[in-house]
Amino acid sequence: MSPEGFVEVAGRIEAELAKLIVGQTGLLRDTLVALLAGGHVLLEGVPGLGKTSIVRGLARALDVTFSRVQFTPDLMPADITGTTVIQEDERGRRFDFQPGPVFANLVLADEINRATPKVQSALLEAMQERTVTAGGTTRPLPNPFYVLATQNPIELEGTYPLPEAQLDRFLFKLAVPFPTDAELAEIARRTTGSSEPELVAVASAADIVEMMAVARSVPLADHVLDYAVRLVSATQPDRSPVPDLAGYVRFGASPRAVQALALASKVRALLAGRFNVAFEDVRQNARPVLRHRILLNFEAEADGVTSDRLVDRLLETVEADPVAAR
Amino acid sequence: MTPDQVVPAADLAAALEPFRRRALIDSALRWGLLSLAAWCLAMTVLLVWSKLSPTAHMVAWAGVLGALAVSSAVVGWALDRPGILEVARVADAQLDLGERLASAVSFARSPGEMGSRLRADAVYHAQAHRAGEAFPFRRHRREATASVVAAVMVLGLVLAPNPQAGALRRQAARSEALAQAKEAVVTAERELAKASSPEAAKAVAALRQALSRLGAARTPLSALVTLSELDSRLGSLDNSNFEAEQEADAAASAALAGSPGASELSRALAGGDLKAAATALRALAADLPKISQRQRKALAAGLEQAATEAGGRADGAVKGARLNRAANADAPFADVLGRAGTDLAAGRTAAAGNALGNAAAGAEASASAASAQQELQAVQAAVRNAQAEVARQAQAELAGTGRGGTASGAQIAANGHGIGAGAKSRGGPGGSSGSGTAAGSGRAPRSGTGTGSGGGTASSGATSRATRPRLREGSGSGQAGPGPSGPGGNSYAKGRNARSAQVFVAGQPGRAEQVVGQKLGNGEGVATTGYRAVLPAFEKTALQGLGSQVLGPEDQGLVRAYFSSLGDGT
Repeated sequence: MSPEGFVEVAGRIEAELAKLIVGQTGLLRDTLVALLAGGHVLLEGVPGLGKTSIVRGLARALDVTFSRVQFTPDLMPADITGTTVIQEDERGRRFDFQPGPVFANLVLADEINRATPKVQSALLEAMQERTVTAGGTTRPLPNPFYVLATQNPIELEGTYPLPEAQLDRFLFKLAVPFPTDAELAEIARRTTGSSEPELVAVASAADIVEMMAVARSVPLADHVLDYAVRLVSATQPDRSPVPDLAGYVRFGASPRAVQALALASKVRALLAGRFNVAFEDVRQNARPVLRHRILLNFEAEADGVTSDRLVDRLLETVEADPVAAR
Repeated sequence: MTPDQVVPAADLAAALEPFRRRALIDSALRWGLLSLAAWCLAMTVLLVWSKLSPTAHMVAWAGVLGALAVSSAVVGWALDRPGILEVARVADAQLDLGERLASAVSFARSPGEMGSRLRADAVYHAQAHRAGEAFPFRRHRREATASVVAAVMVLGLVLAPNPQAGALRRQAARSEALAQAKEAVVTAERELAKASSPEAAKAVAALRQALSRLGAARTPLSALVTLSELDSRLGSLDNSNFEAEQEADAAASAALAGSPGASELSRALAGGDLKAAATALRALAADLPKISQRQRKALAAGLEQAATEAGGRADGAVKGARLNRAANADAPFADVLGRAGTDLAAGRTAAAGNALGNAAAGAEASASAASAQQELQAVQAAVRNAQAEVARQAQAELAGTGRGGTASGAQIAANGHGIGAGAKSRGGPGGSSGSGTAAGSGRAPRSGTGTGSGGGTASSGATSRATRPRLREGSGSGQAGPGPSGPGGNSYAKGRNARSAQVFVAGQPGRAEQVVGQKLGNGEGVATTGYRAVLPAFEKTALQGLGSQVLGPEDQGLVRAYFSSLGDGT
């Protein structure tokens, strides 16, 4: 696939999603970027903002297998990964593995923070290794494999915050914003009429895999990569150039953050019509990549400091290209 | 996205070449502005310093600083020249090209479609912009502003009056005076080096020693001391008395004027040409047998008359000078002439011829010695001229700085002026009448040397207090001109904390001791000394002092004439 084909397919996907989702163009672009970068996405927002609708729309716009798991406290790991059951036929009884819902190209983990850590951890291998091990056998997941999880930030009772290791495996954490008045009106018009928008699949799983390969071939110059590295490094409390950051951050971003910035920036560069990664690509990916990887301490919560605010401070402080600034 | 096309790395380099050239100019401009600002700041500091302290050679300093600034700018530019990747990064930032150019440079040789597309995209965007857009001169507004501000400061300081201008002028004059003094000594040494007489050799040695000391001299005073000592040493080598000798020659010439066959000799003596006189004497000796008896008698009478005239004039100093040397120790020139006349009158022509031959040989030797003495005197005159120049400079400096010394001729009865020294000395009450010009100097027994100048008028009973210089003590010279009558006052100098023990100019001996801290009174009851008894001592002191005084040759002649007149009066 050529870069032009990449842009065209991505445009078609966005166009299909726009039929279902009113506004939220930034959110849709970020979701698509993560998808084409091969990363998982954690969508966070209050109920009713369309988190699930986005994922469902994406599943319909892509010709891929889709499964949805509603996470609840009584959910068991096997309910997700699958389990071995006794099968009896003309050849006799035997144990067969019954794949769980995780064996799909696109998995919607709805309200992921309602499941127990035990269940949440069941996704670790699937998200990182893209395999599932059950009954002593490791089985690969289909390619592409995405986990799009949602969570509600305001309901704390009966929820289990995702462990850091789990969070780190999400390429992006996207905050779903509240729609504008105009968008609200449009939502009402679309969803209360006689018919609902019909989405058609505009890209296959193979297209997505090919697009991922094209994205990885985008050149990333050293000085741009250096900027990404300096940004991630600056999240570390002991080496940050931002004075406030050290007092509010418990742990900075992991090396996965650099990988996420690089990959996501390559996708964004292509979507912007460029054949190279720009500083702006890195800047646009900084929030979704870093916001869930910067672990704040109690002082930050007490002072109302959010990770987004710290990332913004980082972007203000860390100079993109010191050479050009001379 | 730009259309798919294969773009080699060379095309990318060609597309970026205008940017590279412009970046080099941009970098040169930046370094130029920085160096200009640095030069202006350094000049500001230098100019401020020059207004606080006299600083010579400002133009040279500015040139040195300018050369430093330029060389620093060149070195800085050479080391800081931007590479092509840096150029591309700056252009990306300035033109908002999304790191296209720098990425293309980074992946200039990357194979594959994406690399080629990247280069094509970069070339397309590079060609869509002018290099000047990426490197506008306004980028260096900050450096330019700093340079302009610093330049305005420099201009303001240059145009502002310099309080040290007077001091600078004095420094320049001082340097020039010292240089002229050295030049004079060098010239004199060069001239005398050609001569072969023993006096010339001694003079050359003295000149070289003085030159060495002049090289280390930093003030007109120290140069003055050196020149004075040199003058004294040269003076001690001069044994001639040309005036008396010329008188003697003229007298002999007049006596021989009417003598037969002696007209050439008479003319040569009248003109002071001793070589011609020697030739004429030999010719006369050769002609003796040829002339008549009557002519011999007349010539004999003329020779005897000439001997008498020359001998009479050659009394005193002349006897020990040229005419004596002309013959030999046993037979002075006048005697030789007289003997020739006597022999000729007695008819001893051969003996007379021998005597004239001896006189001729002596005249030749005397001519040679006279030539050496003339050269020595010429050198001495040059040294005195240089001495006068340096003295004028020293005087000007003291007058300019308000540190005038004392008019040490404080008790000169008439006006006293001149350059003298004797720092922290004071004049005393005058005690006599008369008039004259005097300058004096003194050396206090404490350490140090200083000089000063000033003038004063003292009359009987008056007190003249001179300005005290800051130097502890000094030395100097004075000269007393001829007064119409009577001895002048004392000229003395002394240190503030110590007595001066030396009297330089004629006056009343012993007065110097009395004037220290007490009034002289009207002179009654003061022991006096006979005039004749003290005159030789004063004359000797004055003549010795002339060698170290700051007086021109004419003034020194006046001193000699003054003492001569005193001697005549007795």
